[in-house]
Amino acid sequence: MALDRLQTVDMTINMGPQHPSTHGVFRMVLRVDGERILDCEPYIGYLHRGFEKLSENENYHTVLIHLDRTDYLAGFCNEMAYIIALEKLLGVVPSERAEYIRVIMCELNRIASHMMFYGALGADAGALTPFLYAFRERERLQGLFEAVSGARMMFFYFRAGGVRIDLPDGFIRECRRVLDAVKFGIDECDKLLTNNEVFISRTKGIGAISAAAAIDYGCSGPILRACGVKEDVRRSEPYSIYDRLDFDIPVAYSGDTYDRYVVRMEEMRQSIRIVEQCLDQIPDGPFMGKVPRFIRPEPGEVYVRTENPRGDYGIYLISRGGDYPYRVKLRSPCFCNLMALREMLKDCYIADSVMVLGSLDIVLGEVDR
Amino acid sequence: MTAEELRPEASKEPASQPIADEVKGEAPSADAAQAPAARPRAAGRAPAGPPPGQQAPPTADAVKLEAIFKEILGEQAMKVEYNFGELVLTVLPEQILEVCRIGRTDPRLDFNYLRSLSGVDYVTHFEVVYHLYSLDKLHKITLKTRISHEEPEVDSVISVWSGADWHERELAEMFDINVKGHPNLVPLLLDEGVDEHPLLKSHPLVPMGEDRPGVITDLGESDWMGYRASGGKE
Repeated sequence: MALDRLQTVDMTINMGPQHPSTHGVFRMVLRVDGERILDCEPYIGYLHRGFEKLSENENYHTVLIHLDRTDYLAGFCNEMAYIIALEKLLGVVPSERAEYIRVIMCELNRIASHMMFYGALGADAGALTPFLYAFRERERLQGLFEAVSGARMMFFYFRAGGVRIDLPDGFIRECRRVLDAVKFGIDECDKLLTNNEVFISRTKGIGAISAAAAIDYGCSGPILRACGVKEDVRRSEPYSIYDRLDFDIPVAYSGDTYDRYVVRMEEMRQSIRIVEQCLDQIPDGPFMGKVPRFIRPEPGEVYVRTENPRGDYGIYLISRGGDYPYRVKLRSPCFCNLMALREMLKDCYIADSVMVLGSLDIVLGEVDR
Repeated sequence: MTAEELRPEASKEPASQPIADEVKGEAPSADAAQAPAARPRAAGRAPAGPPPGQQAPPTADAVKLEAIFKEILGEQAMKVEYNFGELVLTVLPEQILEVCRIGRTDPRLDFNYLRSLSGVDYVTHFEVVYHLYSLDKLHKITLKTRISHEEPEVDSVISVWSGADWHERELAEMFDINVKGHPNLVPLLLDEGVDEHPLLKSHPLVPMGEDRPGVITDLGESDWMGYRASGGKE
């Protein structure tokens, strides 16, 4: 029988929700023709904990506890967005030293988060060694987080007007030491994967998305910057002290999995630059600004966006007076990045779907909230 | 201002009908007292001037955007506010799709990036809030529309930004708002079969142990549920 008369039908296969490559509990239904993906339907919500509803029944500060648990790889960055929103509503100005402490912690957190991404993407490609190297570096940073906030992941460290407690003695010296080690570690990681032939063939040209489509879907962070859009909230809408700091925004142009990886590797180096500048400039003084005794903002609303390791992290905070926020809406970067997954997976092979998903660096706690 | 007053025969009136007064002002204080989150201010504290959001002068971008929108839509078709110096436009629900489309296509506005789409339940009415941003022009705007609880419907803007997809599905399931024109309005985050709309203010946080769908209440001999229901006192 001639091959063109052979009838074939598309097959629908399920991936997840407990697939190890989905970095959490995420399910997608793929429609495939042989090994090629025709369409993909993502299903989320397995980790939905009602963060927004719970926040309406929390004090303004205890909302932070839930925020740490949304994007659990970048707790400081989440707290940053919310605290800026709260301070704007309160009309509170944080102390100078606190601003520096916050930026230092956020940028260290960015490195730690990207290290996690690096290790996981390598593991997705079948390279397990980079994972161990990444965790060695991440562990150094976790040590700093623990020294400063007392916790390794759920920090609850920022407060309106400042931070909970000052940096421990000798932090600046220890931080410089760690940064030197991490700098070396990043170069080492670079050598392991970036020019690896197998890794390149698994990532180059895979899961590409055009800049126009990425903008249309509301992608942000390294996903958008890998498409050649030079957009970084730290530059386009500087918050905290980022307008005083000197750093570059890495951009790549083909929008594929490899470029997303390269952008993140460079971002880690830029974060180190930022932290080093902060360590040079950090002033002495109080770690808390002048704050009213009761956190009770006037009625009003504010939308604040910050640059999370995963992208544009927005907090829409509404107060109508009283001790509790009226509404807290979280604009999660992964939520929007995941919408574009369908676009990226078109015409990929099934095996590549794991790499593409890994390159999005999703944290399901933040997608599902 | 009640939901009925919010849009009095708005759909029957011509679009040029001034709505600036209709949608002006905060909800009255009586409603604020009803709302679960609102608490009376501490006694003895005098209000310290206008809230911070109203103090900042409008930015140059915001003034420019306001002029452009007024030119396109007319003076009366919208309510203009400034929040932290940024422009906040409130328009009628039947206009929102058109305004979004203009915002996206007009080269002077060029709002190509939907930052966020949120719903808010103000007890008397819903507000759907669109935070827009232009990646090329670097300006931003907050678009709002108010819809009533009796007729919770809003047009889908998925034809303007594909990224509105999941935001609108979330809006529909969390607030029980019908998003007209959305191609796939199935629940996104909640459990399958749960017919609840948690972000409504009328939806309380029920302690575990109450009879709720999806919550297993019969744990046999265990006293755990009674413990939780009593708030941990027993």
